[in-house]
Amino acid sequence: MKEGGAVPARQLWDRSACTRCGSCVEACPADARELAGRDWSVNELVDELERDRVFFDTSGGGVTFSGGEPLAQAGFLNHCLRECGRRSLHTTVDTCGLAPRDTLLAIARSADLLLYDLKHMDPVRHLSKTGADNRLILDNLRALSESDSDVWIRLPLIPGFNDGEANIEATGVFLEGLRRRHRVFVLPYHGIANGKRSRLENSIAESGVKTPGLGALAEVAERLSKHNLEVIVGGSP
Amino acid sequence: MNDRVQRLRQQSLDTHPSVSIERAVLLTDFYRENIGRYPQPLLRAKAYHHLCANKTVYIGDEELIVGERGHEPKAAPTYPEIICHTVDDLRILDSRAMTSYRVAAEDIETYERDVIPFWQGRSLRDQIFDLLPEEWRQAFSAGIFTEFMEQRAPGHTVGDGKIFAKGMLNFKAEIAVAIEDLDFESDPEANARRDQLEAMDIVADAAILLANRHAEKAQEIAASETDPKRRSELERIAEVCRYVPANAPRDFWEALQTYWFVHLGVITELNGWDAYNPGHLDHHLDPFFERGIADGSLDRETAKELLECLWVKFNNHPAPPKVGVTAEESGTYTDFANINIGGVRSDGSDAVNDVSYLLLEVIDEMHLLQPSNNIQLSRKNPDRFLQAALRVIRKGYGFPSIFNSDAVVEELVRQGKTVEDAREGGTSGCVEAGAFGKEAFILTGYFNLPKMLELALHNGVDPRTGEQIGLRTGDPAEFSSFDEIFGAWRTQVRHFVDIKYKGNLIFERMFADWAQAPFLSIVTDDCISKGRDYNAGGARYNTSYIQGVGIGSLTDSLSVLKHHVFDDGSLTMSELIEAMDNDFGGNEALRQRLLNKTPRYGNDDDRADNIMVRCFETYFETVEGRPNFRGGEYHINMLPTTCHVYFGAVMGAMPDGRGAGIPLSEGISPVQGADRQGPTAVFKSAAKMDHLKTGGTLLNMKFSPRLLEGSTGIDMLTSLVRGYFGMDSHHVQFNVVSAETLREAQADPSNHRNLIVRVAGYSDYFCDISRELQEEIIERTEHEGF
Repeated sequence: MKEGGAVPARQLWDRSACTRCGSCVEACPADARELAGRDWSVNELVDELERDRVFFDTSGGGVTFSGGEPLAQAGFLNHCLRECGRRSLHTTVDTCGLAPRDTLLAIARSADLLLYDLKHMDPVRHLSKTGADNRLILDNLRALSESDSDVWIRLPLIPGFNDGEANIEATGVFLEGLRRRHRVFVLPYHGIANGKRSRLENSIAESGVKTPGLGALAEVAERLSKHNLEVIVGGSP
Repeated sequence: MNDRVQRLRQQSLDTHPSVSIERAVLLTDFYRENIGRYPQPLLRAKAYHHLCANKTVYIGDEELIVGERGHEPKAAPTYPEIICHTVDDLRILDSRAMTSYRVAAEDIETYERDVIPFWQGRSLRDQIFDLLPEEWRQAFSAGIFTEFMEQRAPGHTVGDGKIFAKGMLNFKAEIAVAIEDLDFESDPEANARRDQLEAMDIVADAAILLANRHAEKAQEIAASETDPKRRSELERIAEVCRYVPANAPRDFWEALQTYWFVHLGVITELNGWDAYNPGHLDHHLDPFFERGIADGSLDRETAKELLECLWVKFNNHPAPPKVGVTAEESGTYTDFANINIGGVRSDGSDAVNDVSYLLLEVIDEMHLLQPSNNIQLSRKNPDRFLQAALRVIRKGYGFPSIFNSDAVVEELVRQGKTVEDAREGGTSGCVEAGAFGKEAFILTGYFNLPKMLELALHNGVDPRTGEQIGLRTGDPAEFSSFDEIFGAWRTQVRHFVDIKYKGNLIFERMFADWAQAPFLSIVTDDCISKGRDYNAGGARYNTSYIQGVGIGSLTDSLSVLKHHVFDDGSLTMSELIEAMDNDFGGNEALRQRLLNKTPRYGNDDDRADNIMVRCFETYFETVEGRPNFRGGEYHINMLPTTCHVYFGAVMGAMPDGRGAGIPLSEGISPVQGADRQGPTAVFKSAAKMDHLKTGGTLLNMKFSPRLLEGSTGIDMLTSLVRGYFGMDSHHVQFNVVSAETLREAQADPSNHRNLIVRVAGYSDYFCDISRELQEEIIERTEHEGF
């Protein structure tokens, strides 16, 4: 076997031997292999983003940094946000909120808008499905609400996990108690990541969770709005 | 739509197109008697009068707008003075799998006995082909270019508002003044002008005569009609036909009937391309609509019913039958009457009005093949207008298409029109810009841009036939730089544009001398004041276009040469040409590498797009500004109708990995499947071409319906269109049909007869287009996400 991932035809790819050099991608004439992700400099990336400026202008749109978790590369992210700001591109960061307080607040200062996920109010349940408990996430959100950054809350509704009455109530009470009222978006859980899972060779089994219907979303929205919140079903205002 | 319209629409859909030989027989009778007795313009005018006096007058049950070109709906006449169809042609028309026209056996007999013997050798086509140089014929049969006028007359024009303000009697008065003003003392052309003007006067009378015959027919049917409601409708039809087009219309109904009589006049005197077209129908009808609503004589439902009756009339008129190469380049029943909605008025103000929205409703309800329709979108038009159109587009009919009205105006001004005339202009046919009512803008043929590279890669030899048809531009294996191969391509382009141009001058002169269009001349400024025919330069503006085809395929092929052969040297020229000549047989790995590892047009990648711009500029410089026979100039546009399929069929494999015989890229769209960066990148790439130097470009996009759901989808598309047009681009059209649906239709055509898709500049029934074209539409990138 050659160095890196490139292997002769009909041999299986050995993930453990992969150095992510990309030579297999280059070698495949049919582009059947694809390297996910690449290295960018700040300027390169923002140049690329700016290619769509004409459409940002006509739509009032801009750039959304999402993930994975964009705060996993907080330093780079911050540089990109500032460069976008310098070029007057509107920026949004979509985060789960699990990051050191100072890092998160710095990012929030550089971005025009934060989309902030609230997955569950119970730390144990949160830990069981996400691998982290939610205390830092909730504390961070309190801190953000004390700042003057624009923050929208996103509640991905996952049937059987966070759609119970108690959790929705707890979410409403928590959001009502924040210093500012933030817009809340109730989003249906979707199975888009299943494709990614299979490409990761089933490192995580398929979720099997069904996408909730409009009725369920509307019910949750209704319950939350009783806490003096502006609640929207779906992703766009 | 109401029950009446529903029945008329269904009847139009259920009637298969046929050939009507009535016109050919009447014309032949007249010519046999009168040829040589009058100067040519008068002969043609009197022949037209003879047609109007003797043709069958058809008024169908329940119709409100009346008049058929043939003896019944969907019956298309022939024009033996332009092309004399052979018995074989008629049999092929009757039996071919696609776009067939029924021809009765006894009609074929009559044709063989009476029509063919008279016209063979006399038809304009026969005369012109005798005059064309050998090099032209060789290039024509090699598929290097096509010729629009080999079977059909020029035309390619559109009406303005004049017929809604003046009747034929007013035009006759203008003609009389023009004759009065002729200067026989110092104008050597005065006698010729008098002939032309008298011809116009005769056909104005003929138009009134034909309308009166419809009035009589309506009266006659009314006399025996037992249903009082229908009887009063027929009496109203009679009243309308007695008044227009002799006089200017007084109300909405008369306005529509006026247009239809003018339309019939234009498409009966000659088989001009793109039929005729009311242009900005919403501008023209707005005053009649407003007045009728204000004084209570009209309500919205009646206006809609009348418009829908007019729509049925358009759909009743398939294109005159085409055969041979003309059928290949334009394989459709559509005759390209393309109604413009929106845009600006001559003073530059926003022209969108109540009738604009009414027309969009009509288009949605009728969703018929004809008439084609488009919106002219100016930055001055409200988003509400665009969104109303997008909600129709979303249904998947492929129409209306969307034009950048501000760019169209700028294109026309660049060509020398006044800004007012430019604003009253718009687009017709597929995407062609013109000053409505004042310009003869003639498409003369498609030009196969990638074929020039195929010749350059074979030192001027056409690999399909082995013949040396191009110039010897050198053995490509000895080229040491990209500029050399590009130079060889440019040399072939110039050589064949020269040949095309020489042929065009012959066509232009022959049509000017032999195929006068006095009726079209009446309704086109300034034919009356100049005393000149439409086909001889009578119009205020006289443009000729040569349409470039395949710029996506050409760009990707040159990109392969630049990047693989010259830049990184990973492939030798000989290896590449050998693989091409073997249609990549046994070398699929190479073909995949070329397809996937090459910068390709449509991805906002300057490495490819710069090549596209260079090709475009070269083609532009080669054609732009050459004088035409009618006193105007040549310009380019970039559209294919269905010619990219024909041009692909005459070519072997190309460096971009396209296999032999496969369709080329269409319009300015990327090669099918080459764009991988989503629609914004396609728009960015396409906008690098300087659209303002053209008279039209065509960009086709296909979206799955899911992407356009809800108001979010409409908002996104609105921003995309505004963004693309902000870059001075000309046109975009959307196909919103899932590939799955298309596959189903292919497997089971009988249950998908009414499935309309956008082809290239027009929409067509999916089941009526060729298998190759079906495949191409299915494969055209289905954008799944922005």
